[in-house]
Amino acid sequence: MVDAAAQPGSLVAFGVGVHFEGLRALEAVDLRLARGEILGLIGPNGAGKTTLVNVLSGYQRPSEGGVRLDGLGTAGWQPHHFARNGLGRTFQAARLFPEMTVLENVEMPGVGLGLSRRQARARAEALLSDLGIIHRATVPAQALTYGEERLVGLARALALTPKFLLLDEPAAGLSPHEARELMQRIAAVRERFGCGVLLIEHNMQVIMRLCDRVQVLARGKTIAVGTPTDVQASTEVRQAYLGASGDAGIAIAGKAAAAQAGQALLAIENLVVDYGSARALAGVSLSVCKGEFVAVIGPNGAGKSTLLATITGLVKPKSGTIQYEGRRLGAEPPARRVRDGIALVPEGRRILSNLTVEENLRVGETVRRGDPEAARRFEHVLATFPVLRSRLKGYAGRLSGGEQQQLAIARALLSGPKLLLLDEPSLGLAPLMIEQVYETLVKLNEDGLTILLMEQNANRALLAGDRAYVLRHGVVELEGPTATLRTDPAFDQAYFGFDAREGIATH
Amino acid sequence: MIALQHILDAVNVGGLYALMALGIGLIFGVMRLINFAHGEMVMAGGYAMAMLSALPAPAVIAVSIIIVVALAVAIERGAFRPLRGKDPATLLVASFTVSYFLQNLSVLVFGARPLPFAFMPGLAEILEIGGLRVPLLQFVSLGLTVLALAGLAILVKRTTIGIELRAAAEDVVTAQLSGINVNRVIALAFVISAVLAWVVSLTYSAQIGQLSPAMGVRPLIIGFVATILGGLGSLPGAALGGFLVGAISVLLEVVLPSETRPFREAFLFGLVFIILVVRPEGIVRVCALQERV
Repeated sequence: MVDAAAQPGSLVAFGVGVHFEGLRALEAVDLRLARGEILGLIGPNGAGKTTLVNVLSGYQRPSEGGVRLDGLGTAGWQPHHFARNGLGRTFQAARLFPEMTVLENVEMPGVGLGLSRRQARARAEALLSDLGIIHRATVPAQALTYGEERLVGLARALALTPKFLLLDEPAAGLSPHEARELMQRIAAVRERFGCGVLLIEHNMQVIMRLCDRVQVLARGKTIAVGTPTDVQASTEVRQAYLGASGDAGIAIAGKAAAAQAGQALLAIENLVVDYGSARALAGVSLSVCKGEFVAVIGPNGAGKSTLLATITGLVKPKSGTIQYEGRRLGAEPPARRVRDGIALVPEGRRILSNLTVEENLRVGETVRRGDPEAARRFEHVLATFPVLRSRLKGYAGRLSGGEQQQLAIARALLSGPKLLLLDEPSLGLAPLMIEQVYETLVKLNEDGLTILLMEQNANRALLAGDRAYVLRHGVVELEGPTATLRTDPAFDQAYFGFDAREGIATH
Repeated sequence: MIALQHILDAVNVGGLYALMALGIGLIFGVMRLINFAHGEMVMAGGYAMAMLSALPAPAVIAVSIIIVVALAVAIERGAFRPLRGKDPATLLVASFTVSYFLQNLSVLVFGARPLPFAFMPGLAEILEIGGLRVPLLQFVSLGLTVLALAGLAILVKRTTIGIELRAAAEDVVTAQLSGINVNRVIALAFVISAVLAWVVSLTYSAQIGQLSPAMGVRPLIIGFVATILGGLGSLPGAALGGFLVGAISVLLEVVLPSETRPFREAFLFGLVFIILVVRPEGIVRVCALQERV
């Protein structure tokens, strides 16, 4: 417990709770960032990291607890009060002013602090030289590459001469080389300005190399604080990411069928996808055979959702091929692919909450309307998810998270898929619910449905699937039968990206 | 009796604004576009009826509906579909452009001077019911409004295409991933909004008794305000907002001293402003529009 008393020289959050309409995003979280320190903030998707940064920078008012900045109480402050009192932050997206030059972008905070234009310019130029991008000073921000954008975003935050700097995923979307360079810049910034740096990052290498201390959030609570080595060794942390390792009992009874070298239903070759100048997938190849249950496991930002968006036709690949049922997919729109049997259960479920449960299911049936099988399929799906039957007339937004997940799966099944794609079905669910969802998936697979699943919850996915791929930074790092991967010492290296000797102490 | 008369007025005026608000709200729902050209649908309907008035009344009605619908579909295809997915500001400017283009086209074709609207002159006839003197028009427009609202409610709530419409309005990506043809759904929204605009054409033109190229602007602005008041993105909210604005404006007509009546709309918008300060998301809140921080 951090003392709520004034602590000059540090940024302190005490007992912070944030509630969004029934959802507890944060619960009694304490955090202390001293000047000159680099503190890593990590945690799986939905842990509350960005919410905490929003609280620390005044963008989100906490429901409980509060923040002290350099010994000052911040109750009632607006974000610009935080900024003027020495708090700089970057956003997940760089949010530069696209039409202004790089120099103008970086001058802006200085002008806002009341410097003359000349002083602000001098400071901006110095920062851009420090960060090694002064040669791009006169270029409009929209012409920057993605990596440069991140650096300019950092320069702009530094132009406030912050005492504390909050960086929200600065390395997201950077190449390993760029990420390494950014790490050096951040370390240099700390040396030069003596400011405290809070770093949210999914790139574990960045976190482990750079941070003095690491704080781990999961489900809105702090589950560990300590040196990188301590945190790496913590089984709790490992579980928060990979899910509880439940090797007891849940062995999957004979699905030998999948082991057969069946015919490929989906075959992806060398898929490359860019978002603007950021590379999301860098040459991914994978295949799914008929009747198989394949898991793609990887941390946040690995490219899992992008992979699914490309298979469903929401995103166009830059290069590479996707073959489905032996036919190469080209420009078919998503609706066409659904008709051909590719159904997606999207991340976060994307229930149509203003529609009733029944209407949601009818939406799922769109491509099979008039199909003689439709009525039977509808009954079958309701039999699989009996809880939905009792809620048919109720609004879908009223369902609990687990029920919504079932509805999302039911909706996808009603399109009569041959290939069911799922994006992190365990996200935000209680352990018991996760178990139930997985049991359903295994059952569906045993009944002959081909499944391709994206998961962060590696342990659960490795128990259910036949084969798995480990995806990190848009590259397949490891693949093999799940039975092998479960015990493969190379798995952690592939998932977290640690050097072997720095690796998490398991067992 | 006077009170009853005022209530009837309020329902009538409110109904007209509700229809406008629903037309605007439908398009906003599926495209996140505020269609300022919706007022020109009303104008087009009025001129179409006036030009065709030599034909028998049912033919006038049928052909003028077809003209307004065709115009709406053409605008969707020609102006809005190519811009879909672009910045909302771009769509907004496009809708202004279409609106001005149609107003000026109408000046070019029909002239800037107002034309008399003489379709179905019988509508002006005054009925005496138990001491109340009510123009037939009020009953007709009330009937049409009720019919249009009920029709829309059934369509949206009960039919498959209505479910698709609501699905697309809530989450276009999920709609696509469920195999819904979003092009078709958006085109349908334009067709429905055109029919609603046509109902307004008939009752509004008959009320003011004349046609002018800019006649659609005023109902559009008030309808737009009603949409915002009701909660942008919610159809029941739009209808509610329309009736509320109608009721407020009739109430102001009654309670304001006569010398301030020319400023009635200033009072109306002032009141709406106050309501929105208290409830910025409108009367009916729509979850789908709330952004994650």
